[in-house]
Amino acid sequence: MMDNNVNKLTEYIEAGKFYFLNQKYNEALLYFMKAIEIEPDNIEALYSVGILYESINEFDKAMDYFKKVVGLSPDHNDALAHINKISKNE
Amino acid sequence: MKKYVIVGLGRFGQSVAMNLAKLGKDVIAIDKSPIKVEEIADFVFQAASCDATDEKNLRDLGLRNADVAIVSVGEDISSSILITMTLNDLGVKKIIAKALSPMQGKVLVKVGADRVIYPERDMGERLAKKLASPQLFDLIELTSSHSIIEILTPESFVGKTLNTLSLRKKYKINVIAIKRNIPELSENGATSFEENILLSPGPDEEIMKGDILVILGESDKLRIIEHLK
Repeated sequence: MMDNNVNKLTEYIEAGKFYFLNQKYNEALLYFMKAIEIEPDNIEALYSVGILYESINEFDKAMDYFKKVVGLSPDHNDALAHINKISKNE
Repeated sequence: MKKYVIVGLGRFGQSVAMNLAKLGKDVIAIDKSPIKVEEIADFVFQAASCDATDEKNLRDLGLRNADVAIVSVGEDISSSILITMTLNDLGVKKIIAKALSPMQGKVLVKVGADRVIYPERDMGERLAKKLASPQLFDLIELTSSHSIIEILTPESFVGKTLNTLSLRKKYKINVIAIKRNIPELSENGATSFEENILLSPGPDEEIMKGDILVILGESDKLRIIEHLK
């Protein structure tokens, strides 16, 4: 069961990335969210959702996810850089 | 090369001086306060601490050949007036003076300012408009009736081409550029994106979710666009 979940998690994140790269943002979001449902603290999925929202200029939502990432991993430099960038623009 | 003089190194003056210097321009920065002058000295062509209301000081600095002077001595309007007059007498080609109110602006024009700017008022206006319309990213007023705006694409535009939307026909506005982030993966496999700009997009260009549209047109018509869903 555990292994199955790990596989699913990886699959969902991969699918999310695939749709993101094809600019299918709704589908991408759906898969990243499925991954987060399995593992709410998954940094890769949370960070990907932040990037997705930032790329479509929804900064408030992007900020929420980057903050979650930094909350879980305070040294996550990429997330910190995005938080800085968004705060500067607003 | 054009020579720029900035008199008064408050936040505004300092920012103008630094940005001109970054653009590779010759900047002479002047302020009464030696501390402010020291702060900027490494970045500009010349920095001097002196009383700019004294004509002799400005003459000694060789400002006669200056092309553009920016007078930003802050709230001290009497100093602004004196400095503007002196720079005008010295023959500086273009004088831009900062004012806090239209009354100050009028006086500054009378004593030789070629252009008056109201940074506080302009910023306030911009911020108010931005806050009033969350879709609005930026606004440049070209004249009293025409502007360029940057807005987040309304949801109803997504998936349609500019031709289908026929904004020019309906609203007499032109989409002059589209800012679009292109998704990519970084070296470590994490999601990322690259900022991209499409200049003068063609009629077949399809609008995508998250696009920022840069639109030129009549301000009244643009206001309608800003509020489309």
